[in-house]
Amino acid sequence: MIFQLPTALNNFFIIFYSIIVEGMPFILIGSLLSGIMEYFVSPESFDKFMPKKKVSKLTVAAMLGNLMPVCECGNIPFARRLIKKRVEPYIALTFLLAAPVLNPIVIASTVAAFPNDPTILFLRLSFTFLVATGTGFMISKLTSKQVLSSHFAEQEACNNPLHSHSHNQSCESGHCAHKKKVSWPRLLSLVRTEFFEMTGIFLFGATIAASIQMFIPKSFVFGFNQFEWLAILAMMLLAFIVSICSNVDAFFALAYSQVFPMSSILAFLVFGPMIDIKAVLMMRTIFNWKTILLIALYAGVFTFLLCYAYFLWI
Amino acid sequence: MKNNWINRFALLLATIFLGKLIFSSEINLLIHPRYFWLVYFACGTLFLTLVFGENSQVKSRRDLYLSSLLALFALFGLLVDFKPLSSQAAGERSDFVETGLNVDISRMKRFSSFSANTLERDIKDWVSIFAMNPEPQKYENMKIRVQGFYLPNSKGAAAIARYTLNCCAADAQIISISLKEKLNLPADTWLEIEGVLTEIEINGERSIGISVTDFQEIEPLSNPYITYVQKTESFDLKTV
Repeated sequence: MIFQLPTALNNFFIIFYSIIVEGMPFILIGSLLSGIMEYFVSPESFDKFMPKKKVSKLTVAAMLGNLMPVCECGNIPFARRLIKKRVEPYIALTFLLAAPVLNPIVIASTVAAFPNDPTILFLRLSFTFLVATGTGFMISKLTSKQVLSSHFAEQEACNNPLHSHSHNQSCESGHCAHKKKVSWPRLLSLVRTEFFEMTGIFLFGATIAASIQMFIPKSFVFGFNQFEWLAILAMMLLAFIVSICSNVDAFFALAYSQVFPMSSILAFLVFGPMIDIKAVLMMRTIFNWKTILLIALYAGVFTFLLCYAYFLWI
Repeated sequence: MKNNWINRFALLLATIFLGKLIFSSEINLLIHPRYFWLVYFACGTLFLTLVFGENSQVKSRRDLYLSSLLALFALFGLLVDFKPLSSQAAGERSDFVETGLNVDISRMKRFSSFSANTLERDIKDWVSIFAMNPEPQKYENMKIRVQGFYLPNSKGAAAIARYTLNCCAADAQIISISLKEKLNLPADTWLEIEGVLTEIEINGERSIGISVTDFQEIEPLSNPYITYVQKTESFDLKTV
């Protein structure tokens, strides 16, 4: 190797690269499944599969994570493909928020971390379901045009039946991946395109997450555990900053369970997998900033209210 | 735009970078061994998309930037010789020893047993035992031999420490055992310490520390972090 870094920089880059190296395989898995879906699942099959009522649709979307047991990094390419398959954005969003928790791997890791406390698992799953479907429901009031980013909306337009340029010609803006017969080289190319888009954004997210970790100590939140409501907010903030993968966040939260009340640990476990620094930046490849702000706000408020209600109840 | 070479170049660099992590064992510095297979998978898949993927053009300036960014990330990672997280990171991030303890104690209660030979116990074993029974007299004159890096000042006393990892370096937390006397060594020097446990006073409070009888500098361990592996044996306090 050519050079070594000064200690402080080395620490920063170790954290930065660890986030990327941990997340990159999940992005690839998501991109792979996204590519497979592009070729093997038609928009019509989704129309058949999805129930007609909104509440049922939201429930099905929240449960889709069981088919896709990866963390938020892997779910975003899949959610993008769902929208390209003409699934409504609020359904894809509900999947995006719920899937990092409502899947078998995260259930197993939560059980392993809190083996003597089944309440934690039950409440984590229930609260995640409620927050994801609640946020999805609120966003369903907006139209696709209002929620999607302009870049993504342009890509999505290609899959719209009204999109009218000839498929024998190349699209002027160059955003179309016109469907031909299934071929592995083309599928791999699609995986590569999705991977580049996601990883580029992920790099920005990891840079910010690593920087904040270096400059805002985790102990910062320890000053906020005197009041229940403040502890809940502090743990939500910690979850946002740390940007830890949902597959293992239960073990991380366990370390704080002696210092913080259980309601705030729950807030960490519910809010973190939905909204964190890297996830927000990756969501930007689908939604516009205004929508992301609304999503974070709804998810934050719902999580806070549910966790505080739990505190009042126990 | 015809800059499709940048895509392939970025992909090639990313594949080589992951390969470098695997073959140089630097992967140990970044993530938990439980997740190594993910990196193998990523390296293989990137290679497949590089070799067998259809040639695709970079379609917009934005795509060009994103590809360049990935290439830069991989190139930098290739050129840098990474070192383990230093104690400075613990200071900057103020990772509390107690939080590490809690993780340990919860896990150790369920999964591990400790060797009856006290010299075979590592820092993690000792810290877990101390967390369960913090009475210093209980351990008086027990022999101890542990490896770790030197912390000149950890909550008022010098200490020997290791980082623990659940997932990746981003969640690293430090655990340590205090030393009765400071050693004339720079921070982060890797050591093997031998000594006996004894009661010490830190900030006016009774605590457990090591009275060092011998120490030697060692190379940083190839896996410098403590990572948890589930064991099926049960914990037996009688061995303490």
